[in-house]
Amino acid sequence: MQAATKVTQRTATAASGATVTVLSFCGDISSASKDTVLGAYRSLENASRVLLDFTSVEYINSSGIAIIIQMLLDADKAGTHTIGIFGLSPHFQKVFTMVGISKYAALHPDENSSLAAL
Amino acid sequence: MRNSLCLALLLILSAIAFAAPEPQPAPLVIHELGKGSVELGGPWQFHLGDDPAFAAAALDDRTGQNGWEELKSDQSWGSQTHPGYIGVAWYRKHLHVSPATGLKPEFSLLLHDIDDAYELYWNGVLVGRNGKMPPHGKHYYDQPAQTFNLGEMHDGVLALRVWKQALSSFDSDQLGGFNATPVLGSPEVIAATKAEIDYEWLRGRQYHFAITTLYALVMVLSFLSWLRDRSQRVLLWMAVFCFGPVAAIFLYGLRLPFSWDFSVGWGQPVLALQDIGLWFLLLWLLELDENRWLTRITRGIAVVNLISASLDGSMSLLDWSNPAITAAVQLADAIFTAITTIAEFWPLVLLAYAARKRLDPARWAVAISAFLMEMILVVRVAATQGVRFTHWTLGQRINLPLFTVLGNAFTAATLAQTALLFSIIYAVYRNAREEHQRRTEMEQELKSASELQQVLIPESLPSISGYAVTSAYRPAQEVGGDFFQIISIERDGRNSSLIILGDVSGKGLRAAMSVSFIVGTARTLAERHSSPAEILSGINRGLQGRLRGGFATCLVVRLDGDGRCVLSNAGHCAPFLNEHEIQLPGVLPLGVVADARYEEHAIQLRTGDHLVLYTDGLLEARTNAGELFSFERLTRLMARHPNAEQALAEAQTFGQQDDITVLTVTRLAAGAESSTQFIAPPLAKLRAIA
Repeated sequence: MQAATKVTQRTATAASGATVTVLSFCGDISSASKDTVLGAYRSLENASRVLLDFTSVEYINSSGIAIIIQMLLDADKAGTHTIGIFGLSPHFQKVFTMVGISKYAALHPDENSSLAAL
Repeated sequence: MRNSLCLALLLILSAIAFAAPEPQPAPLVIHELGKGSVELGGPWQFHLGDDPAFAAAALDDRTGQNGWEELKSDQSWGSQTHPGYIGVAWYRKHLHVSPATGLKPEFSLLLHDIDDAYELYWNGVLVGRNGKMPPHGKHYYDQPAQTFNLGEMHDGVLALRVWKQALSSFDSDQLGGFNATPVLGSPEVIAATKAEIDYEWLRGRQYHFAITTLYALVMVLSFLSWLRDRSQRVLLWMAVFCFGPVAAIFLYGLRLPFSWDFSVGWGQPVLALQDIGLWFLLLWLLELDENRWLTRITRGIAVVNLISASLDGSMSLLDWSNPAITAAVQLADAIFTAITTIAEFWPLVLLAYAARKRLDPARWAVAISAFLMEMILVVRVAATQGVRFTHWTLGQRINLPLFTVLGNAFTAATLAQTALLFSIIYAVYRNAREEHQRRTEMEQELKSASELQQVLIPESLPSISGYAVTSAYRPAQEVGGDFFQIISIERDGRNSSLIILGDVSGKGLRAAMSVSFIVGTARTLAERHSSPAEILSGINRGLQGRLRGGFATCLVVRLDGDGRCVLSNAGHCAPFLNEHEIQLPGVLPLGVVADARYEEHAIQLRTGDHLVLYTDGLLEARTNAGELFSFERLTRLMARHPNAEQALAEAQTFGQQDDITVLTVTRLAAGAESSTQFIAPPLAKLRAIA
């Protein structure tokens, strides 16, 4: 049984002083998470700095990765957001790197280092 | 009618004959008894309290003397002069009997509907009893009429010592003693009278028995179906809900010789279970289980209700007739019953939450009729609580028959029960039909997908000169998206082999069709291109817009005869060379971006070098606890230079989640014979998996 994905949104402050919107994901990410993930992305509107927090995500299957890739490509096309990712387990950090996600969003080990980079 | 007329005449004559003042109350004079039976109507002498002397024939029981009074024989003492009286009381009747000529003077007495237990005396001698008198009194919940053989009789005094148990929360104060007039007659006639009474009882219960049998069937079938598929909680709760009426008929409705304490005691938790069954049935039927808050509260109330009902029921183990504890026990009974009664209105909250939902009519039909059936019962029970104080008649009125068919009373509750049964049958039929349709569609899809997959999985692999190749493939439960091909190519007089390995995201027919397209495109491109990067570009362009948000990772490797190996990767797991992962940059998978560029990396394989290609099914094998196989374990595995079968077996043992494909290539020494080994489940087994 897969745990349903949940997203919460909060703000943080980057090292540069800019406001950062943090989308925290929780649960597994799979094909069933499409509406949740893309819905959360669309609610960002004009937030220029966005961090995706995967700390509470246990597992992402190939369909889940496809959804994240789609989200990042949409963001890249729109050009309005700078996106960072943190909280991935070492396994999924490697998987994200393998599928080229690191070209569209910087991968960081934790929130502090990602806020420092923004 | 004729008997009554004769009797009336005889009575008048006797009254005249016996006009002189008598010290004893006037006996009921029965002449020519034997041709029928007679109701021992008229006033009976009555005395509250208990004294063994009250059985004696010679006792002075004149009305007004020593506490004796007259009561009607067909109404309880509670509805006459002693509302709410509990304990022992005595009835007496003087009889003067002349049997009909020619008949043996043996007679029987028929007693029915006497609350609660009694002993029968004829002229001071104990003839029979029903139940047990205090101390430790016991009586039966529902009893058929009892008959007692009085033997030879002429004149004498009938005495009944009757005991009424302490009142419980739902008891009215209008109870105790006779509710129907005793009947005297010859044994044959009395037996026939009893048979008629019993027959009427049975006849009036036929519908109830039939409905309850159907409920028992629904209960058993639901439970068995749930055992087969534990995720269908609706079925479990349907079984629990149906258990209520089935258990109830055993406790209350079959006139089994259970004591009142036993029936009512066990009846409390049974009723609680029925309530709980309804709440969870509504929760699952009306899809309210997604609301965690609502589920938690329902669970909490269920626990409270069950404990309260069980405690209430267990109090029937106590001796209520013990005056030291009667008041305390009655208070406890009232409190527990109040708790369970309040809890029983919870379904109203559930229905209010569900009212806004759009669900199919079959679900609503079951939900509403289950709700009605339960609430009619709840309101009836609630309205009778404390009835000896409130004197509400609502409880009685709810239970009045709306109409009668062949002696079977149809109350509101009966109609609700019937409606529920029909809606269950309808819902199950609809569900079965939808399920069958869905299953057929799914089977069709799986069949198509597996047929496709069989076409795509190579039955055998070509050998690659100068290399030993092992490969293993094992699909997961559903048809997945792994693919691999080995294509021999010849360019400029040189023989090479292309290995194409990849994984389409998603499962089922759609994934299988994408694989089919990729394999077809790759084979076509391989006829003109030997560059792995160009093959990837070609497949990528062809996939644009076809994968509906999905993607395909892919690795293309060209092996030349001189040991040169050229790789190009699109998002796939990097292969291992001996115990090291080949460092390849991350690239988006195929089908995502139209103008993606792919790089090529060349390595030189020496004799004995071991190259392992795999799909992410190996990496993402997972234990039941959720631990991933992961890169670390993979690195340790690769250090052992496993063949494909060994690598696959290790992942399978760990916990296969997705299709697993492993391909190993070992560079052979010059002149050594090349070999190819391919392990995959036989096609027949693939069909079985689908």
